[in-house]
Amino acid sequence: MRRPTLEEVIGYILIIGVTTSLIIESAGLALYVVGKGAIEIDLSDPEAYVRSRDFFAYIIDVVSSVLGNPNYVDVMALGLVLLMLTPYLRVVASVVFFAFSRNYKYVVITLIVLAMLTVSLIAH
Amino acid sequence: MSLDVATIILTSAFAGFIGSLIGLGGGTIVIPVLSILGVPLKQAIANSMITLIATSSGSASAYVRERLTNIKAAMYLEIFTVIGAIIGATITLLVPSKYLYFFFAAFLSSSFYGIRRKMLTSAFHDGTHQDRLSKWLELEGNYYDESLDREVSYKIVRAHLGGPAMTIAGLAAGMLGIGAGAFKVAIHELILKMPPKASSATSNFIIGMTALAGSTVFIASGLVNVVLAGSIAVGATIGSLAGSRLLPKISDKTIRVLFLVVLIYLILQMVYKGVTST
Repeated sequence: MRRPTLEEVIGYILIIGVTTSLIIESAGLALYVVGKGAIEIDLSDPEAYVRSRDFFAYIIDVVSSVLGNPNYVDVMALGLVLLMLTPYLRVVASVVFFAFSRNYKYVVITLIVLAMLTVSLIAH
Repeated sequence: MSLDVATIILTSAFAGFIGSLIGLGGGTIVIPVLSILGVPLKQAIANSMITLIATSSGSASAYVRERLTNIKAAMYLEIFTVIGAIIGATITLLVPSKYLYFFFAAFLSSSFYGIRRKMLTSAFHDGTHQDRLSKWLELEGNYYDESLDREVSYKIVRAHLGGPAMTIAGLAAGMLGIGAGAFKVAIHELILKMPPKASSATSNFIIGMTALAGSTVFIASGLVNVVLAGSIAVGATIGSLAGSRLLPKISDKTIRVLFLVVLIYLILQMVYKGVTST
């Protein structure tokens, strides 16, 4: 089997990430509108805010809430998490791809980007 | 208009639609509209930033496969935009909103570069002699241009200047929650000498990463409301997907006039908000 090009790998990651999160966000909005019986967005509702210092711990929280007894906040948070993971996975895939192609210059460059994103996701 | 799911989805769909046609992020439209609807500016910036990932990735997926996007150039430049965006987003959390309004209005004006550029048919010169850094970074590319009906190959120059310049683009993007696409395209074309199509596609690709970097700061700030961000994301994604499909069928002139009118209105609104806020 032919090895896929970097363009193909990244293209698929992007389109799958965006469409999956679009579907989940739409489901979350539907739950919100049906549950509240209104379409107003209440900015003063503390439940609707993302509060997390560590993004990766937040992912685990969100996934376990959605698997348990999900409400609209959890479903929409899952959609946003997937959206944020899309470009992140795109960098991870690039590191792996450049490593397979033995292009070490670009392994280092992509690792720098990955490291900055990871630190910023964990350490805020 | 009121702050409800339907209004936000429609506004964002319009922004995503126009954005994908002009090649600019939807943030330039969404943020001022949220602000007019009564969302505090910093909150508008934080929520809009995450959704840029959706509009950028949606159209980037097509450009990447057509090989219009220069992935190596993007990876190298992302080192700089990511640093810029993280610093920019942090600044936004610290400075008073009053100054952000003026900064936003000033930066919206840079969008005029993107529109003016589309009005010119740019003749591109290939086979430029490369400097050592650009050559070492393997910054070159080729793609098939449908309108020219031939392969276009090009070499990028002055990577040592383009990188630091992208830090400024990232800084502005992180501060204002926008893609700063016009600014990025200007750097690609004027400094790095990329051909227009590769330049727009690569800028679009980088916007997703810059938006993620800015979002890493905002997600921890407690400003991200899942219902608001989710509504913007749904609208903007649908709008940008529709826009990229309809692109060949709509007259360029109509879009530009429409966008200019909207843009001038929003710039005036932001200046007004800046003057009246305390």
